[in-house]
Amino acid sequence: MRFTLMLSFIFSFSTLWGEVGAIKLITPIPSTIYHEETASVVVTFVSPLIDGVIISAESNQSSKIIRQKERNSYCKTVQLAPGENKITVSGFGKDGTIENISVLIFHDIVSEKIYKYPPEKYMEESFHTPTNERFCSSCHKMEVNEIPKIAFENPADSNCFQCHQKLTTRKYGHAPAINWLCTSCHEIKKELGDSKFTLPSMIGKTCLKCHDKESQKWETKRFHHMPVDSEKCTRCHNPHSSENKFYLKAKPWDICTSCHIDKREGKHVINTFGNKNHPTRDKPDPSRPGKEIECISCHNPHASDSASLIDAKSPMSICIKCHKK
Amino acid sequence: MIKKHGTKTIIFLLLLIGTVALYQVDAGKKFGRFITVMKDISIKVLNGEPEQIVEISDDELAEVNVRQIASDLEGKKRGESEAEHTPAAPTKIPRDEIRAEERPTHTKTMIKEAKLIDLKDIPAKLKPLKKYMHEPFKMGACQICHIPKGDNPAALVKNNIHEICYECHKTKYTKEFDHKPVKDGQCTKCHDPHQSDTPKLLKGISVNDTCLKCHDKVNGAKGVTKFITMNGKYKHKPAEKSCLECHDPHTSNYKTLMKKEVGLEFCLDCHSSIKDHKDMRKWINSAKYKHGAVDDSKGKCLECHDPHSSNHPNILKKDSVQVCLECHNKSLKSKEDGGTMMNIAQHLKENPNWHKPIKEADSKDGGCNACHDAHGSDNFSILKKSFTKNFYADLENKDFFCFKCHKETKITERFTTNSDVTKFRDGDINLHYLHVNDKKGRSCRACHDEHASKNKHLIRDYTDFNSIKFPLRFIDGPNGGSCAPACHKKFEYDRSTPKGIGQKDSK
Repeated sequence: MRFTLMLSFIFSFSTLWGEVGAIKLITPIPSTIYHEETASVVVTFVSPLIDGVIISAESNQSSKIIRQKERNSYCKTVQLAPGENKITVSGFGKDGTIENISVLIFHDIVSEKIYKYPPEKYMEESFHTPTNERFCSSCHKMEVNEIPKIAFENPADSNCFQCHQKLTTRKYGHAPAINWLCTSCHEIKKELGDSKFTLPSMIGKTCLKCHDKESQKWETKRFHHMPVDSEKCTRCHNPHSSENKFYLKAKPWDICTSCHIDKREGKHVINTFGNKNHPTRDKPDPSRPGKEIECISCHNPHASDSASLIDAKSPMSICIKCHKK
Repeated sequence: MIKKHGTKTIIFLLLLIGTVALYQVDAGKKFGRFITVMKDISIKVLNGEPEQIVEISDDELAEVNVRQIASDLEGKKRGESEAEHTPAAPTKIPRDEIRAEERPTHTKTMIKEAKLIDLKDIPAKLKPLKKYMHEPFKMGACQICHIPKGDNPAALVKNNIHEICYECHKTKYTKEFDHKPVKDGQCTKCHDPHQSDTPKLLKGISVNDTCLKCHDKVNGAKGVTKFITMNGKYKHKPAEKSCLECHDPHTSNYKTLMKKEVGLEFCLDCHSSIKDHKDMRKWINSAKYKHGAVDDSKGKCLECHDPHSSNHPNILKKDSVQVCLECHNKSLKSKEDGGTMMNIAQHLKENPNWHKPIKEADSKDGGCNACHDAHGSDNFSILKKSFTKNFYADLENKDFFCFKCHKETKITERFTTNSDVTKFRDGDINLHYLHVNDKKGRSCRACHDEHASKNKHLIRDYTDFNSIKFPLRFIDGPNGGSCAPACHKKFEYDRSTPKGIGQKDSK
């Protein structure tokens, strides 16, 4: 059903512009969700009339690929904006545009609620199907060359590195990712046509394979944060790399307030005598010298024995951490 | 009553005292001796065999009729055909009686026609006389063994020497294992038939000297199969004292002529009650994790220790690393947790930089036993002290096993410019402190290989994190170095011109 919808979607675009099938877009697969802020555009020139393509994305970035001799397929990484992105690939020849292909994809981000939950039509799709891999293998090494449980001495040796290196360039790198031990999390799924590198079906279980000490700690606690209990670790954490500590997808305050919107507007904890709210950011944190106040100054984002996930034995004792006599 | 029988009582008492007094002086002794000897003779006459051993004094021995004994032997010899020299069938004698039999008795039964040679007249080559003399020799009864024959005045009465010996020394040594000279009837291999300065008429200056004449590794005799050395720097005390502490020199039912069956218990019989020495029986039996070499091996103690002497401390067969590598030169299955123990020999071969105790195996704190308890331990990998298996270890729970040798300040001093404390510094920031002394502190083994490494400072090539091997990518520099492990990106450190690691966290 969805497939037909998708086809008709492409079809409707194609019919509007010139020749159909002059170029073929391998990826992005229409209506897919992108968790990372980049997408790879893979295009192959079917018609000999095509001299090149212009790839333009929502982020106003556009790039031109000129056809080289005896090469039909080209890859290009485009930057994605939060939310819906329209990627347009227009093939041109001597006499101007021959064919335009547009796809809609969705880049979800955690810090804004509107971009957090993709509309229903967007789905997680796996690229590494046997068909696609066969296509790529003319230029890329597609086989898994990692030795299980032993990281590469040189990360660039990984066959995954060439296409996916952007995922690991951020400040804090998650060890399995930056060491290109992709298969320690990504799995081959039979039900998806032997697709390789699919998202693990149980994200929480996958994370806790290594982070089991943490989960054991949480289990003893009375109160749990909902995403922790529902094992949605990647809701807040980027499993590859991040510019933020703890591989958080955004700054802690931004992540927390994307769900707890009421805290964004002020009125947190109590209104003091001066009708001032308790600060939740932009102030130095006395309990953690050198750091600013964040939600996690007082709250434990995973689990706690105190209500409101206060990171102390009792809700009041958290105040004493800063408000000493 | 005393009044009535006063005189009688006094006389009786006087008689009693007199008898006792007589016993005290020579006359009493002689009287007692007379009774004993007479009793023995009468038994000998009646039964033909003595039932109890009577020590005959030198004076008494002088009166023994040696000629009679010699002629008896001669007569027997004539009676036998010369070709048949098979020793008489062995008499089965229980073990504890052997000692008693070893010293035959000489009685006064036939004291008449003694033709004794005065010791002054013995051949010059047997002079001067030595401390211990064979009794017939002492008596000058050369005829017991020798009879002039042709131009040889000291020809033996029998061709086979053992037949002469067995004539008086009736014990035949015929247990499961016989000492080769005993089996071959070569009594004189070890014993001098005339005299010696060593008890038991041994040819050597001591028991051990006698044994080592043949069994010494360097100077041993040809045709001997078992060689040992007692020249090692470290000697097994009983072996040093006498070979006979453990071996029977003649015959035994146990291999290598051991007195008892060689095994754990044989050694533990002594090694559980030696002063200033650990009770090994208790140790071995109570250890939670047992060493296969002790618990499950053929040689038990002798798998590693030389029972005689060696140049390595604790009388180990080889140095205290090599001796372990005898077995640990292959992957072995651990009984502890069913896991696989690494092939240490290969590991050491592949990684040239060794941990000091391994490098200096024979030093005081050297060898595998610097950290491992070869006899078993309550800690995993039979370590002497518990050591974490984990990558992470909190400071409070951090075992300081490594700090038996390494200084604790290595991890406890936050700032230091002292290279003796640690060279792992960025300027004055102790990077050991940063890595280890935190609530998410790491154990030593996170970065260091406790055995050997290709890198300096025993830095691992790979660190094991949740059973995934991550490369540390350590590069040593002249004044610092760099790491690019899985834990963080490539960080450089420099002792004189800091690169700024840990600055943010420390302030």
